[in-house]
Amino acid sequence: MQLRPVNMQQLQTYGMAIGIEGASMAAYEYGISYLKKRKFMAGVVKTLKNWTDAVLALVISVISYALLANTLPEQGVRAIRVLGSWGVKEAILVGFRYRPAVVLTSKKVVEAFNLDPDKSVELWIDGSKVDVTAKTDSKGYVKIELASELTADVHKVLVHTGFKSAYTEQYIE
Amino acid sequence: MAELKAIRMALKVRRLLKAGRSGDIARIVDEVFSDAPQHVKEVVKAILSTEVHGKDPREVAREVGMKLGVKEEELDDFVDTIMMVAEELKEFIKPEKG
Repeated sequence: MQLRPVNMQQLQTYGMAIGIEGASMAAYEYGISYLKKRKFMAGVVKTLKNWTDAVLALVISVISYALLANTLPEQGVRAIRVLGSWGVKEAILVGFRYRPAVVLTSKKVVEAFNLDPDKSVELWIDGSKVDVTAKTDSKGYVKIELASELTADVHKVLVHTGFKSAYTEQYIE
Repeated sequence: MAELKAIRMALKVRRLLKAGRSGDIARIVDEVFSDAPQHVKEVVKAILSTEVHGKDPREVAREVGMKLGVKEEELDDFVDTIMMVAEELKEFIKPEKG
C-alpha cells in the first residue's frame, strides 16, 4: 500500500471537525450537569439513577436529529450526532461497571454504583465529611441511609472507596 | 479481564451496527443498554419511538419529558429548558459568516 500524506486543506478540515466535535461534547457535559440541578430532573434521576447521563445524551441527540437534521449544515448534524455517540459510550461504560456514579434518591438516601467492590465508603456532602459505616457489595454498589434529612434542594455529593470515586451536584426533593 | 470483556462488547455493538443487522432502534437499545434494568430500557425505547414528523418541537419535548418521568406540574419548565438548550445549540453550530 502506498501512503499518501494529507494536504494542508485536509488537515484544516480535520482540525475544524475535531474542534467542533470536542467542543460539542464539552458543552453537552456541562449541559447535562446543568439539567441535573433543575427541579424537574429530581423524578428523572430517581428513575434512571446511574443511567441518567447516558439516557439523556442519547435521547436528546436522537430527538434533535429527527427534528433538525434536514435543516442543518453537515457540521450541525455532526454536533448533534456526537452527543449520541457520547451517550452510547456512557451506556457501555456504565453497563460494564467501569463508570462510577452517585445519586441522591431522596433527601435521606444516597446510592452509589460501580465503586470498588467490598470496600468501606467515605461520603462527603457539600464539602463536609459524613460519618457512615457502609460497605459496597461485590458489584461496587452501596445504599446509604443518612441519619438526618438534607435541607437544601441542590447538594454536592462525593463518595469514594479508596480508589474509585463518584461526584454529583443534583436537585433532590 | 473485565476490560477485555468490555472491549469485546463494544466491538460487537460496532460490528452489529456496521453490518446493518440492527436497523431497528429497539435492537440497538438492547445491545447498548444490555446491562441496564428493564425499566431503563423501556424508558429509552418509549422515548425513541416518539413521533416527530410535522410536530411542533415543543410538543415533542413535552412528550419526551413525560416519558422520562418529569412530573406534570414541571413539564413546562422542562420544555422551556430543553428549547433554551436547543436554541443555544443552534447558535453554537451556526456556520460563521464571511
